[in-house]
Amino acid sequence: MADAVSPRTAAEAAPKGRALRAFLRHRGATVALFLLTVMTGAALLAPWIAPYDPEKINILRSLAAPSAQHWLGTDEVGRDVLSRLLFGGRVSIVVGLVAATLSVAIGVAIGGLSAYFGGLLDAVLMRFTDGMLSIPLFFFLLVVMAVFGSGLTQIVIVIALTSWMPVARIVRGEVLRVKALPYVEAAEALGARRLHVILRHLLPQTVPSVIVAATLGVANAILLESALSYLGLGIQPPIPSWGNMLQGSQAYVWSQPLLALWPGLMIFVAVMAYNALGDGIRDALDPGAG
Amino acid sequence: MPKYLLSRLAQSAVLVVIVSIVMFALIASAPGGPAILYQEDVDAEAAATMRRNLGLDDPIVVQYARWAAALVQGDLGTSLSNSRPVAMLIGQRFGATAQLALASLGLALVVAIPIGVLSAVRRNGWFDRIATAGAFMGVSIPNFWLGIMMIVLFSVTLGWLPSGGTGATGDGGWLERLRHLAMPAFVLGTSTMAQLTRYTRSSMVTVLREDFVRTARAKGVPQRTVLTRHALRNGLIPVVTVIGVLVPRLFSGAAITESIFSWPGLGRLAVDAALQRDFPVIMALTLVVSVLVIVASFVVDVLYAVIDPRIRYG
Repeated sequence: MADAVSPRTAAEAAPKGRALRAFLRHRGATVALFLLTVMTGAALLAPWIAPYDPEKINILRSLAAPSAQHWLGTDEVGRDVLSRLLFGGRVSIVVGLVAATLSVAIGVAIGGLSAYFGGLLDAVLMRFTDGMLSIPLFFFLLVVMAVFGSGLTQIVIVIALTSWMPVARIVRGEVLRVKALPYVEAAEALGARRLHVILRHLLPQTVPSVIVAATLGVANAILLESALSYLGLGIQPPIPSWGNMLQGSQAYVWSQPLLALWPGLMIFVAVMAYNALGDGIRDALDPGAG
Repeated sequence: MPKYLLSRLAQSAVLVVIVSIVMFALIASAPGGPAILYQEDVDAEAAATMRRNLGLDDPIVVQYARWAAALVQGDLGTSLSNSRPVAMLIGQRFGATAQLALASLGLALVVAIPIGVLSAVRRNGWFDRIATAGAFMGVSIPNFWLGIMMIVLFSVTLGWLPSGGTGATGDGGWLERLRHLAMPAFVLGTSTMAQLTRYTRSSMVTVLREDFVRTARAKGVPQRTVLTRHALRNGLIPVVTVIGVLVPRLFSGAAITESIFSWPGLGRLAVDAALQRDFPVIMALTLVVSVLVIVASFVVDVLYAVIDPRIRYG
């Protein structure tokens, strides 16, 4: 492979290299990528690097201050805070990534169909999208979690079902723009099937903006999950999640205020990092913007 | 009324009906039913009787029809948890949420618009950089954590502000209420503030590049007048539409903020009802909040046409 660099691959490599350089120049995004790598790595390795079992209760050592044995102290029933933070990260990352992927899939399907076929289908799908955007979805989330219980699967599905709308709008706009270009007309004139035109010619053009929307979607999903867990409608204790750790800690702000600091800080950093990453990717892929 | 606005109103009405059907279907298909059936002193037989009396054994369509018929007559139903009329529960708590939402929206506007304008005028300067970083943090910070951290700082450590409640029951008067309102309003307003700052900035940046601004400057109009008379008038128009988009989020935020600060509003009522599976309360709240949000965005649409003479509906 390495001995024959064809002109074609060289030509392809150039814009990719440019985008990568543009991304790396974006200091915030580079820092964000580093932080996310560390956080994801720590969460994935939690079973091996966590000093204690995150659900192991030890009433005798409850609400202990940070010490050599418990770097971040212990919670109200003596569980190790550091271990719970590491395991809690798994919940946030899984919910964030899976929910964002699902919502992008829904958004691409609805936006793409709407733009390609137009007419009545477009009108119906877009009214539906507008409608979804105009109702207070958090109430809807509360109801669904109350009704169907609060497992990981339910949270992922519900977040995906309530956050695809921006993606659908973006994809629709992009497809409408590309559809009018001559090469799509040429493909259709050459007798390309509809599905072929959609998959090969239209959707690839939406990839940059969809990647940006997906990255911001991860941040949004992490925030929603932790908010639901904080309210007691998300991940249920004893399974640790950053949201339910915060809920547990609020009762002890008077005696052990540090307890509330860590889980929220993790959510804040993760959300900010995904937002910065999204901004960085947008700037890298679209040098004209900003 | 112009045709466009009428058709929007009709669309909104259809939307409310659809929302209510979806919510009802969701709730009715819930496995288990309301939490009240699982209290310790309720045995299987009593639970069955309660189900029958509440009409939970009827087909969903019948249940919905009964609910809608009552609604049309102004009856929102009765809470399953405490047997009070839902309309009364909502009426008692509406004021608290309205107060909180208006205070946070007002705070967000007062802070965000000057910052956004100044950022746009001194683009890429140190003020703009700080404001941009602040806005970025404002949209990323989980408001429940911000709330708890503020309690730690202002209530636990400094002892300046109360950590919860409205202060309405005490004898402190309006100052006491204001002290209770300060933290919840700020926490609820943070993300709105951050987003409004961004929108104001980008809208003003665009307007300041327009020909008429250049012309005004070329004529020798002072910077202050260019800003207030020419740029601000046009730059704030898109900001008004954004407020319409932010109102639904304000209600979502209220559910969280009211829980942190034990604020006795609709948001806290919704969370409690969800935890209790108190379905009549949830149904009524969803409906009331949806209507409020739709009315708010409708008002914003009309305002948009009023402040921008170039826009005519119909």
